[in-house]
Amino acid sequence: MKTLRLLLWLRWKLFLRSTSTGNRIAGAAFTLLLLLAFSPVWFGGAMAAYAGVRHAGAAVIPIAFGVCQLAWLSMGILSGALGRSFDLDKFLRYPVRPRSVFAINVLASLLGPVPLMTLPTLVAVTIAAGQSAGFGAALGVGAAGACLLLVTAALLQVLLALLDEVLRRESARFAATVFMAVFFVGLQFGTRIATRYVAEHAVLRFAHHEITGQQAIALAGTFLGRIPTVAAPALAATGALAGAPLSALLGLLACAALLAASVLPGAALMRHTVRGGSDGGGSTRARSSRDRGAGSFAFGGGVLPRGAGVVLRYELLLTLRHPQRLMSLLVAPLVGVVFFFNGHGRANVGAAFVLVMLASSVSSASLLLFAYDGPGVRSFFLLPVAPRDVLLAKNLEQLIRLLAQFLLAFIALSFLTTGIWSPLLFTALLADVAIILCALAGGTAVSMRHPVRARRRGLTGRGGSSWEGAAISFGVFAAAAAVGALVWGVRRLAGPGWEDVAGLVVASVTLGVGAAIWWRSLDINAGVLVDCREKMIEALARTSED
Amino acid sequence: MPGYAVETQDLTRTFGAQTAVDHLTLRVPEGSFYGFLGPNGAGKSTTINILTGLLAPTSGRASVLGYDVVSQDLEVKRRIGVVPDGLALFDRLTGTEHLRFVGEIQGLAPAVARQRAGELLEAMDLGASAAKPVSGYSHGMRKKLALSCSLIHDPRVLFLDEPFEGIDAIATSEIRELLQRLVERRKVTVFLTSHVLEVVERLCTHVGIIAGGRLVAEGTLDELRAGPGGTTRTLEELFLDKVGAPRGDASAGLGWLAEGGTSA
Repeated sequence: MKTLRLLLWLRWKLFLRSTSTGNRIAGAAFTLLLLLAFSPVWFGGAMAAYAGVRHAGAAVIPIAFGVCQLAWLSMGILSGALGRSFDLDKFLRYPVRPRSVFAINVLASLLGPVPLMTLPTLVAVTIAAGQSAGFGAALGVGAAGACLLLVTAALLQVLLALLDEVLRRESARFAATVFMAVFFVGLQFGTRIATRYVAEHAVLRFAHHEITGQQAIALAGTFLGRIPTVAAPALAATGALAGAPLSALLGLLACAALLAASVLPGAALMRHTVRGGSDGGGSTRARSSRDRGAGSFAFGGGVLPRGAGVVLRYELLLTLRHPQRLMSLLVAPLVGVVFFFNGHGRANVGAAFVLVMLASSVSSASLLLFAYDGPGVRSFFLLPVAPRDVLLAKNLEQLIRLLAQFLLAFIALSFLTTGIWSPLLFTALLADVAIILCALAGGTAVSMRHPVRARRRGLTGRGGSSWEGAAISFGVFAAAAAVGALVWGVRRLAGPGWEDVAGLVVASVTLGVGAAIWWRSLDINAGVLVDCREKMIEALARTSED
Repeated sequence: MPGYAVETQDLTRTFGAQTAVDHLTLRVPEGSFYGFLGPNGAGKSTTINILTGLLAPTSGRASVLGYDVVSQDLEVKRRIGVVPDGLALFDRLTGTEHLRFVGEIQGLAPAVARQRAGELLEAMDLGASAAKPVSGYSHGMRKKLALSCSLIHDPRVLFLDEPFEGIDAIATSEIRELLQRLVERRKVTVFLTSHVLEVVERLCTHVGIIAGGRLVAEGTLDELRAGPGGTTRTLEELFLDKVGAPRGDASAGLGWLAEGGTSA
């Protein structure tokens, strides 16, 4: 208990001291915005759970519990090590048991945004149970809900430890990058096909009175109730609701057993991963052959200043070798394809989402402009390379990545549909590039004022939050809306026959303004780079993860 | 009469209320092997960081080979090689790529950078790991690679912050010889910080001792070691004399540690 108390204290101190007050407020505001953005999901889920328990009784509980658990697990795994507070390797030199670290991670993960979003559903189920069967039932269902959260948190930590073990080798991280992309598309297609098939099938059966609502609930409840980590808390809740204290007690004991059973393998996995170390590299043979290349290290032969060319080559190598950056190449194309299908095969829906995603991804990526440099960031200040050249190279790499994403997305969309290339698309594209250039200028400044490091494990990065960063992220959407409204207005004013020309002219002017802002920002941001060097070295070059 | 490779005048650097470097006036002769000594927190690394462009001075001036480190920083960086405390390596590049990256940024022709990269890697016994990413290097290998990076463009001044820390005895000996050759044959100025006084005593021609951000002793090794009445002191004696003698019994107040007894 003493170790647990000390670790909690340490977590709290690290939280207080690792960010400024402003950034903590920004982080809280961001979480609040996230909660608000997803309010239809969690509020709707709570309403549905309440109505379900009131009308259909205990049969709805496994469904509510199952949906909460699966939502948390999938979000937790997709976001990598987001739910983990401590990495075990920081404690190897101290007499701290891995299971204590594991336990702290379980407890700390309960405060994440996703578990918070499941709370309304669990509270709604508890209230409905209380109204149906009295205070004792509400107490039992509430306790079962708490057990569900604990069991889910423990299960998530075991899965994250497993993910860490699997992704320990960089080659596995590359494979996972591809897998995630395939999984994402597959999930979308699979969900759509399954939903359509199941929905059609269910409607038909409903229409023919072959299946009732009660039967459908029972079917879903049986399916989710077969998952042991759902079944145990559900047994406790249904027992409490049905007035069967023995069942409730059995369910609670099963939850305790699941918790105990998760701690040991989870802690063992963490310990094994940490002691195994990380290879940190990919194919040596492939790199060896590249190293023997006869050309210059610099990229951009003669067009760019030498320093910028060399840094650009480094940045491109980094993109090819960092799973997180490699994965970012796939996001916009995948979103385009997915929204194309979700938009019932309309090309402009997919294209619009690709353009929005490109702007959004550049604004996010530019906030992490130096995040992957690690201790190497000192080199930018030790070597005779002009700060403007460093920023020019880093910005150009972002634009090259953007071009790659654009080509991937629109080649994919061109295969899926015809008629995607229209004057309106070119207009939108020009306006989008203007917004992207402005976002790049702003994001570059924020990346130096508020430097954050990328994680070395898993697939996700360790992000930071600041008012400026949040403003850049959300400002992109506001700018897109403003430019969109401007182009739309001018097209309307120009009237039929001239609307395409007018739109293209306005978009071109916007692009010119955006390009001028970006070009000027390179000089201004070069000064920021020099001014912020100490803060950047402090934040990016240190070896500790916390 | 040789000029000065490094000069500072009233150099000061503060971090909030704390003064790390306090009106430091320093002169390092060209072609000298200069040992910059001081206890932990004395301001050694801060001074090196200012001289190499990693930190901005709060006040005062500093120049390297006559170039101001603030207003002519690129000119300074073209002429110096640095092994900073904590190193400055990109984990995702291989050893060869890293050296080519640094070499070409320093203005070497691609072919020259490639050739020197290969030679340096072989000389530092890193040839077998040349194609491996830096993230897989041990601490000693990283140190050797950092030293290679600092040498690839044939600098006129080398700033080495604890260069022998974490390196095995064989590599230490090899690097020591290499540095001595650079100073003797190529007249390179080496500005070195180290806590190992024996190494400094063996290598350095000049020594500066800093304590509390202020220079408390400076001169040639022979001048500083000369005691009263023609006696000669060891560098350790000199260091303790200038920085402050041990504070009596180190274990005073730690009776539970010094004496046998039950532990908690």
